[in-house]
Amino acid sequence: MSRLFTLAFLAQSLRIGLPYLAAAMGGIWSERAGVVNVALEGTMLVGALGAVIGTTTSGSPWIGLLCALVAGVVLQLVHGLAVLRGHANAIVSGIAINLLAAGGTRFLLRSFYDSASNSPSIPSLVRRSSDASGSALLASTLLDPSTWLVVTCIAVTVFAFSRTRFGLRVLAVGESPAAAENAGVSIDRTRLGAVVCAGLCAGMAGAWLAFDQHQFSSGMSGGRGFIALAAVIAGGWRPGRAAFACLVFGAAEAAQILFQDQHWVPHHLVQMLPYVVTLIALAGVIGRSRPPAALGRN
Amino acid sequence: MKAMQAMKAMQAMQAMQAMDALVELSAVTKTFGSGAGAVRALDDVGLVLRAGSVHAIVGENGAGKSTLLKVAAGVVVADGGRVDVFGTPLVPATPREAIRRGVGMVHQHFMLVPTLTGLQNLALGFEPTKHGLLDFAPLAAQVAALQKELDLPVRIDVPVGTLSVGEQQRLEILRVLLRVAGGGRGRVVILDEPTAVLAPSEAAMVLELARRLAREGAAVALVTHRLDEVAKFADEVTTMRRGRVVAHHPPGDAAVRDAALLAQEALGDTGVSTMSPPQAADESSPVVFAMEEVDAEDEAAGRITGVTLRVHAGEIVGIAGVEGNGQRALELVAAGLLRPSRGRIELDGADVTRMLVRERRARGLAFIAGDRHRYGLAEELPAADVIRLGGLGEVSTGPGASLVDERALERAFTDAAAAFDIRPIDASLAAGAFSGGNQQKIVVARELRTRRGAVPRLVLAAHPTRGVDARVARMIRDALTSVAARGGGLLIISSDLAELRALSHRIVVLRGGTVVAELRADASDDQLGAAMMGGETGREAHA
Repeated sequence: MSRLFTLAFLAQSLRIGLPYLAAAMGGIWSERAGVVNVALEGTMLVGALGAVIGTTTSGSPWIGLLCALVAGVVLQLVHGLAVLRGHANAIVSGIAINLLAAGGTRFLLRSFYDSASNSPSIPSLVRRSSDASGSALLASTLLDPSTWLVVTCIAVTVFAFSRTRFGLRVLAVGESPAAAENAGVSIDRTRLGAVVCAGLCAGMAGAWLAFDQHQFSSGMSGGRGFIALAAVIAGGWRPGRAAFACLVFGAAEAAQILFQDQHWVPHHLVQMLPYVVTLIALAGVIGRSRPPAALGRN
Repeated sequence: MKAMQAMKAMQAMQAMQAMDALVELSAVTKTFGSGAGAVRALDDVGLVLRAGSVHAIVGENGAGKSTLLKVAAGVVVADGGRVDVFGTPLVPATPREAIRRGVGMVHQHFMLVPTLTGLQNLALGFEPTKHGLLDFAPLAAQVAALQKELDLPVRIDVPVGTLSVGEQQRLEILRVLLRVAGGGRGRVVILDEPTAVLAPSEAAMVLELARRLAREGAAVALVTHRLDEVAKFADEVTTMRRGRVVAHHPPGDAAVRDAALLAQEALGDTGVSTMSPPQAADESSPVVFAMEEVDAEDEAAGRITGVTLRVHAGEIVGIAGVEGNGQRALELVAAGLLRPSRGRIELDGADVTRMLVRERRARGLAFIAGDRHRYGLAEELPAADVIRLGGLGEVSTGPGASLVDERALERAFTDAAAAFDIRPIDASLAAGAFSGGNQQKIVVARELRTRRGAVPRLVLAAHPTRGVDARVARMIRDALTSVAARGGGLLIISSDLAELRALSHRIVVLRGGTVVAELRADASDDQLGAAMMGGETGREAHA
């Protein structure tokens, strides 16, 4: 138990929780505007591959990061246009995008790196120390620019909703499109803008995964996009609460990694831990949540 | 002699033109839908809104009043005809452009985002910014000044969803005035049934405001069903029937003050609604519905505390009160949609406190919900399905009545359509596609139907004639009284005091969620007002 209260555990929790957090902010942008977004999963995956291809071809991880964001935005725009202009069902479009991302990344992996499973390794935005002590791990996580980019995602999201014209319009369009339109707000333009923000955030989440593991591996998002979406819903579509849900989940997953080599509990039970803890924490702390009234209606 | 008349006519024409025509619609047509189900909402209609004039548009439900004004406000695009605003065509025909030119509309269904604050709603679409960030301070100051000038009390710092209907409407009016105030060219304010959902004092406030705006040079268009309002507040009147203009009475025409004449024009020759006072009820007849010391609370619906009331067989009990004093909670508790935290509810002698709506319905409850869209109709379903919603068993056959007899269902609709004059008689049309008045007729027809020859034991009706025209209102009231005549009890919640008085044997007044008075139907306005407002007299209380 004492291993829970170490700097290494804290570092590990953050490391696991931050990509969820970035993706969750993406989900909040999209869903607060009324566009259901199950495409976060595929967007993360494409973002991760974008980061790797950008880094290997240019040699600069910063270019890689840029590629990740662009890839995320493009994929989310496809989703947004399909839903808003093509009047596709948002869930169907999201599933299609996830399948496209899974197949497309595998295809690109093979054509760029001639591999079915993973890319060559890439450097991070800054070199990490090889020191494995808890304080060094925490320090390198906190000093990593991608950490601060994720923090920026949430800060900008919170700020935008309360202080910017665009944020206010997103909230209005997701809650009552008729009222927003009557007030002179363009529904489609606002929703597309929100979907671009979702692409930036989810692309960032994908880049985080790639830089954290120094490579791209096939299907590396591993359901994180869906968990982020669950955090959005459980957090009542509010940035702060969703971020909290993501961090709880990250901590629970870190604990699971700590305990999985302990033989006094069956590892199947240990593996359930993140989900159980998150469910309990969210049910207890957050209570009932109410979705944006116009979510999924267009 | 003829020359004299021509001169006079010329002078009149010139006088008319001197009154600034701010909005001019001519030969406007609009058809909704296509093919056999197409509805011609506007058929070659003209309308002029002049500076300084309150122009009332009257007519039955579905006559095209709202559609016409929506065309003027750029909300609905006409199929044909001209829309001129300040002398130039309204292009593009969008609400934004109309607002830019100085034409604003307050819709019948409020166009507010319930989760945003009043101030945020006022800002939406035209947000004031400083260095790229929202800056509400100047807007707040502007709003405060306007509120003071016009005496329009609204809280603008709380989510709109928590405001009363009256407050929401004042917020809408504030917004329109803020938007269209620019340029000093006068402005056009369109009010679509502004008083339909308001308590009398709030309605008076809005109408006084309309008059004041006109005095200051605005053109005000007013859609209403209440002809007494027209006679009192309008300068000119246009009557519409089935998508056409029947008559236009310019300012100064005596017909503007003649409610009976206007009613005849609007309704054709079907006559005017007259309300006759009810026969006294038999107090010794059995109690069909009782609430004993009931407490209940709901975030949206409000609160009632210690409410006790009884309805006898054949008796009509009215619930009066200023909007937002617990009527909604009472309605939901009586229907079984809100569980009381204390007390006991009896229906036809049985304790139904913990029973669901379905179980209460099985015991003879009929429920005409105040919120028709939420509780009354499934708007996407065809009217035939809606006419037996919750009672499909009555039109089913097969083992255990498991198969719906489509033909019987359709017959049920056509019967109801004949009895209540529901238009169009199209059983396959989605319930939501009927006009508001016809939707209400569908609900009333369903709820008041006899089941196996028996009338409902209790009819719970909230605002049964809200937003419907005089003829439909009378039809609905007649249907309600006939239930009482056949031994059913009625509990009617309404903000229309004249209606309550005409229908009820007794009026129970709610204030702050408790029963503060129980009056006979012939109680005076002042007595009722005092009970509702809590002051010495109603007049003083709202001044």
